Amino acid sequence: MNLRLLLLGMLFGITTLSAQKQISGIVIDNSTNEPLIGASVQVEGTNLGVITDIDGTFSIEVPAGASRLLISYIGFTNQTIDIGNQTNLTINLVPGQFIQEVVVIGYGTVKREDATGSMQVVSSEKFNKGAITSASELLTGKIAGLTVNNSSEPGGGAVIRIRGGSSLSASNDPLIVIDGVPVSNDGITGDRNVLNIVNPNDIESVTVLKDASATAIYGSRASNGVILITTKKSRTSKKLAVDYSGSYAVSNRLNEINALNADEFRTYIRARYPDSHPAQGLLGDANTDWQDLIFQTGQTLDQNISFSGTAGVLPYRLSLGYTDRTGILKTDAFNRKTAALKLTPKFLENTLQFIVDVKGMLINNRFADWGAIGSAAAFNPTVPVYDNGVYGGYYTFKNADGNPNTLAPANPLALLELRDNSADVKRLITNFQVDYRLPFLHDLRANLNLAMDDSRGEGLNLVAQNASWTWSDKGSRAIYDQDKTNKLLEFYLNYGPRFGKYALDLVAGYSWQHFFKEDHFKTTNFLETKILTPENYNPAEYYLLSLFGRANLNISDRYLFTFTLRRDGTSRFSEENRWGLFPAGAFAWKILNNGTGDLNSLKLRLGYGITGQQGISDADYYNYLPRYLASFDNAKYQFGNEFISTLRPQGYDANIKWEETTTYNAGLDIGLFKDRISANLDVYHRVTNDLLNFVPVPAGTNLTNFLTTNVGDLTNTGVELGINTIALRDEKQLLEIGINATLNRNKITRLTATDDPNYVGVFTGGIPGGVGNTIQVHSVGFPANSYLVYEQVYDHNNKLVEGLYVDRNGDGLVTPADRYRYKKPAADLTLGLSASYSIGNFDVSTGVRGSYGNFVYNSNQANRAVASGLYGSTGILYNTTRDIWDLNINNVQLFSDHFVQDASFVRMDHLTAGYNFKKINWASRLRLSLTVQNPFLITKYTGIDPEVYNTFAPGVDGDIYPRTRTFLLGVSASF
Amino acid sequence: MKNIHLKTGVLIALMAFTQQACFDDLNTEPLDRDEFTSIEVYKDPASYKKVLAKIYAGLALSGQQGPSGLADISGIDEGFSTYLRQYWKAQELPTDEAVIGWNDGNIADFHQQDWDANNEFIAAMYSRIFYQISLCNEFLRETTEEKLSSRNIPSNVASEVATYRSEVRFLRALSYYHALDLFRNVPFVTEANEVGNFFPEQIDKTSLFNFIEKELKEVESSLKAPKSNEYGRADQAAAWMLLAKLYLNAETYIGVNKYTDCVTYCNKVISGPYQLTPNFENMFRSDNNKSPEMIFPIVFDGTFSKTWGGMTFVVHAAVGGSMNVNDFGIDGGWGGVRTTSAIVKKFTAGQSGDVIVRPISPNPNLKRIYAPGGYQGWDPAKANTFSSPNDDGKFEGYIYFAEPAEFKFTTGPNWDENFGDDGDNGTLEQNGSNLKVEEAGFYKVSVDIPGRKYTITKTTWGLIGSATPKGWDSDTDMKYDAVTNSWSITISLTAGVVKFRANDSWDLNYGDNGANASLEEGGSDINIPSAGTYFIKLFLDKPNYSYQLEKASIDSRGMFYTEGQNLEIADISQFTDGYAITKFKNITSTGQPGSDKVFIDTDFPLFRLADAYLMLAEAVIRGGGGSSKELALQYINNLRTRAFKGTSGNITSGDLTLDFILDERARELVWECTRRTDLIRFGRFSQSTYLWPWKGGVAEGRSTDKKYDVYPIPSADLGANPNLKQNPGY
Repeated sequence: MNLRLLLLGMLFGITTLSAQKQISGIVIDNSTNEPLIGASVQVEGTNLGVITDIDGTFSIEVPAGASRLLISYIGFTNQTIDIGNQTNLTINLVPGQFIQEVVVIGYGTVKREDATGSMQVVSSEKFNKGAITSASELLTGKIAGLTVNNSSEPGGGAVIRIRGGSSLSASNDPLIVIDGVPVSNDGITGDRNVLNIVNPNDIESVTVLKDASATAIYGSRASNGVILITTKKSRTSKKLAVDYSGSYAVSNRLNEINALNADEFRTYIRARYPDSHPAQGLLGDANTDWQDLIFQTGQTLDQNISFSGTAGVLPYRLSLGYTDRTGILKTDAFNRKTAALKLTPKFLENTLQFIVDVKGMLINNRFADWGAIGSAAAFNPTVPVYDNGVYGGYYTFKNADGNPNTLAPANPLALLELRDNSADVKRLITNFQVDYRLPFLHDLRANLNLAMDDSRGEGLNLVAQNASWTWSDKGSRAIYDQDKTNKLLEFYLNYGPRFGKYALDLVAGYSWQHFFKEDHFKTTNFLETKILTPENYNPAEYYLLSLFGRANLNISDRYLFTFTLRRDGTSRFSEENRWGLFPAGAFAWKILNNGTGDLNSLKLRLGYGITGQQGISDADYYNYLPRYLASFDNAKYQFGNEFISTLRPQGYDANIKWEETTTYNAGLDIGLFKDRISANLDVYHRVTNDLLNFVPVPAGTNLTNFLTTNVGDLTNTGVELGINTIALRDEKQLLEIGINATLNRNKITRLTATDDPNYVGVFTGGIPGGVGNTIQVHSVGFPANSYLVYEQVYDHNNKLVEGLYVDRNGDGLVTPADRYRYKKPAADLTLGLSASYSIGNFDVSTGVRGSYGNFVYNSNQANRAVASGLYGSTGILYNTTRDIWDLNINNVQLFSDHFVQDASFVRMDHLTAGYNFKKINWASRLRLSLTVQNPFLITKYTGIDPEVYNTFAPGVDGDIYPRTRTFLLGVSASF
Repeated sequence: MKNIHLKTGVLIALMAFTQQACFDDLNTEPLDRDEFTSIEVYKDPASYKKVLAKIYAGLALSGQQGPSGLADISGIDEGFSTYLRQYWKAQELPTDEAVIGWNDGNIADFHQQDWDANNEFIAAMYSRIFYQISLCNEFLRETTEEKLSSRNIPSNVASEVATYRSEVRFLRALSYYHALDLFRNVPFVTEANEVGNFFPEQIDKTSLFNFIEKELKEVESSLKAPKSNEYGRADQAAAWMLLAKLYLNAETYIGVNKYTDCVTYCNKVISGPYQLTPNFENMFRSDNNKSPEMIFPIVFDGTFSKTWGGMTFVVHAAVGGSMNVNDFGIDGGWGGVRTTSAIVKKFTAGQSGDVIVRPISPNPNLKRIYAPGGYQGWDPAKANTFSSPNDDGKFEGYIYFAEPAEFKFTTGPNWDENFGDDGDNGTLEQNGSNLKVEEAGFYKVSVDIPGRKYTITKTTWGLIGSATPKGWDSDTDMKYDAVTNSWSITISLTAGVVKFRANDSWDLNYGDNGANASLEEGGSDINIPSAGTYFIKLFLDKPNYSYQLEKASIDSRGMFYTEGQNLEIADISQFTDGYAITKFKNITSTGQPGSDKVFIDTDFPLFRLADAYLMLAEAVIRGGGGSSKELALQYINNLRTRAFKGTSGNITSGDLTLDFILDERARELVWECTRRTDLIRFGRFSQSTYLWPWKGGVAEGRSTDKKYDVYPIPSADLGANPNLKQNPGY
């Protein structure tokens, strides 16, 4: 074996000569004391050189005669070091030029300027500021092509999309890789966001890989882009560094449903109904603002401390985080404790490195019942909060027999206070990496990565016995828990020789992942005397196996080629279909590099690649297998006097296979005025074929009517522009401005096996107001989730004419065939702006986002601002919204295009001012800051918020959690 | 160096090992103890009955979790997705028997008869039918004799499985029958088609008819004898009932007369061990599994068979308004389904002996004065008059003004002597100014000509008394009908007494001294002899004041809830518009509540003996041989004797017409999923031969297109299967 390697080495002309001397060292950013990754270390006057690794360290063989090393790093002043007798060097580079990025890519790093794919990095100093509990919030508006819609509940989730969605029914979530460990996007029971595992304060940088040539190395799960999260490193200096940051924030709702107040409601009801009408008798004297009652001022306390240094040979970083947050909806709360430990010892003259990464999290969530939001908007404002009756004392609508009216809304405050739905979540990600640079072939590196992601969520959802909405069962007690264990084994070899003007970087590897989870639940009434949902355990697992390889070729530091090939296997498909082959290629041409003119750099990038998708829902782990499901105790069938547990054959698709997305990408990277302005322009076209789509099957052909199967195609086409400038820089001041813009167009090009022109499409977008109503449709030739509505007729005063729609097909009747596809929830154009300005010790920064061409279905108007809805046939009054004054609608017009409304907006996400104290005795650094999140919003949209966070029906506004305005006081210090 | 070689070797070996060992990991099998591979399932002899039970449960439940979760079909809310719930809607909502007040999706299109191929409820029905057919085909594929013997299934189990197969073929025929009845030309799949990617061929209605007929006849002998199978499972009588239905409607489906065949199979059922349940209402209660009349039920249970569809829907959706939920054994009504007046009237029209008190004729001999006014063109000769009962110059009477009005009094049918009121002070002056009322209403007018005085009092009338639901505490309002000039009310009364009262006060009230139908102010209480629903009219427009007391129906099948409900529907979304029907209840025949207040114990009688009687009678009238008109009359009178609790409602052979049968089916089988098929068979569903309230979406009903006799093939399936052609007109 070693003979062959030796021969290989000789063949490439790289042999170890006894006259050489080994020098190792570390390159550190003088300003931050952080190691620099990818710095070039070159033996002066020769072609010999190496690049610093992920920890800023390097090791180089120096010929006997050499005396000096040249260390360079873009954005820093070059430095020359006399070697002398030293064998271990610490080199501090001083920042010089602007813009310096090394990109963490899959299984390695690359210098930004050598990247061939479309990717973007945001490092910690550029992150969004504010009361941030999740990594997703750090990135909002920062990157062209990346949209993040964060929930405003404490610890809440986020919908993250890179270049629109490439799938319809399968997952559109990007792959998230934390410190080299791809994590599952499936949520954990009892937690609201998979990203909660990483304390945002621990994050060093985030890389977003957008096109296929960049993501292809992650193959199977990379169709929707990849987000690489890199956490902060341990320091190599012996001195212990302690960093503290803390903040306190208060949040209030920015808006609420514009329900009538009690006086307005009384006036409206009295005007609408004659005195003798029973509706009048339901009016009370109270003035209750139900929305005011259910909301509160939310508070966030956040504390983080980290210890970093090197103990003996052991560089370490330990960080502890504590976040306690109460939601603006009463009883909603989030508490998180995180701990992260990173150890990076090196042995054998730094050729053997171990990385031990342990991230732990303890979360306690209390979930408020969101139903209270809708209930508060609809609840009669003229009745009191309490009636001192048997239903917890809360005012309750009752039937004549004294029992609660089951069709009436439950008391909003009771919904919150008579329920306690709490969950504890524990999660531990342990990651152990060995990186070994083989001594006999120094450009060959072997890396083994073992990771285990263990979590347990345990929840208990209690409803009090006297709650009106469970009166017949006497409360409820639901237990739900989940165990998850995901394991990862990855091994790769990296070989990076140089031959004159050719630099080669080869990666070949293998990846094995196992995902296991077990859900358990049971619901009884409060005293456990009656079973409501029988106990059940649902274990499930799947595997992903991969072989992957990548070749980077750099010719004369001018022409860059990347070829990637990944072969993925998934246990979700049959033996014939489980393997997918995903190739990608990219070419970059540095047309101009380090030029001296106004245009100082210009790079052209071209990329092509195919990525795969197998991320269908949990229920589809065995979609290709014929199998049977037993019934629960609530769903038996009676034969004679016996109740028989039934066995149901499950629908299956034996031929299910990979969904494939082909991406074409062309990009330009431009540097102007010594990189004071840098711009990236990307144009892309993505075609997804064989969509894993949940569609109707031909009736009678399967054991269900809808099945996840490969049918349909869609495209996403877009342009992205990102510009970063240093607008102003002198000794005292620095003004940096970043702008990004994205145009994306999504279109479904095929949906069914046939091309029936009469086929309307797959209905999506469930809306309130009766069960089973949908407002959107996936149709061929249109963007996904287009609104399917009637065209409203208006009178000469531009008032809506109730019940009158345009007969678009001209058949003399207004029928469902007259509905048309009008707008869609996704924006045509999204804009992001971030700016920071510092003068002396003082700095301000802000992030502003704009969105154009996104439309929202205003279901609060459509469903609530309806006169006939005020008095129900069940004998109660419902509140309405102030829109009713203007709309003057009697019966619901749910499907009118009037309610599909332009939700374009400009929002300032945050505005932060900070002051850095210098020269303080007890701290090396102290900073105070004040942040306002969401200080302003400009929009024509009249609903609660143009950015609707609705994971089930994007673009459908309803009883959503209102967005907040937050004021935050932060302090950070280093010791 | 050696050390290093060793490490390299270990790494490479590790890599090689992992690659080899781990590729097999991709072969996984379900870990869940509730989920099994097909092979595992059929190895176990106990599984077969469980798979059979799922096919039966497919008619009742929505999924494997109950009441919701792990749904069988998608594309619609699970609670809406059950077979019975969709079948009920498809068969009842487009007819005169039911309206629904909700605005779920396109549900209103049912009653409006303007649905299209995108209607999600029609699609759900279609999906359910083919889901059921797929389950049946899977069972038949997996239970062939070869497969059973290859799995070494014991012979006693194998012979049981043979019976299961016959039941499954019956169940498949049942669903194909529904497909034929609702959709006509549908995709056709049998056990010969494996599960997977293919496009089923569309079968024409005649071939489908023949297939259903052939299947039922083939399994007829291998099914168990009537009532010898376990309750809930199909036997021969179920197959006979289905054949009878197929033949009765053969002219509709394939244009061929098969009435004699219909009679043949009805006779088989009737000669079986079935009897009418003595008390009609017990057929629809939570212990109806004990009914001797039940032939084939869809079984529900509040504890073990929970669903938000099925009977949970049928019972809850019909309760609302002021109905007492305890009478239905449920926690609360859903305020959805009521009936139209067309159905209510089928219980009242033409039934002699119902009118208990007839109004007396007006007395033309009394002295009168006239009240000409703007309301009638100022013509004394044609004006309203007021009478003087005692001929003492004092006149009184009632007059209705549809709007604010002016008028005067004249002592004759001319203007010779007229009185008005100068100064509007209640005293009369000859040739005085016009008298005025400021608002529309029904006024009592008293005039004292000698005393030159008058009073005008607006009145509204109500019924009060021990026989009314509110007793003597308060009255129940009556309604004024300008066409008949009377106040009327439809009310459920107990035995007792009533009086008429104005303006919710005893100041002005009428009773009937001497029980002679002539009303006296402050007169005696009016006797209500027995409990029942009454139509009561109060005539105050002419002397003598009188009233009519009509007992609405004594047909016990007329189970209407009327209190606070309006007979006519002004607004479909209001539960109180239209009478509620109290047929299905979650309480036992002895009044005990079911096992759960939300989920229902009551079974749905898909086939019962009464339907066999009605089918036979109809087939005989339509010319079917094998029975006689006398027997048909006897069967019908069996039903009516039960309904009327005696022979008072019995009919004679002259009454036994096709029209009568259609109405009698409505009375007997209302809300039992047969109305749409019946109306189509009689040519009265679409178009204009028969209109009922809100047919076609307008209050008075309007003609609709003939295409609505057949539902459209859902567009989702047209999109998925290129072999399908849409039904005509859609």
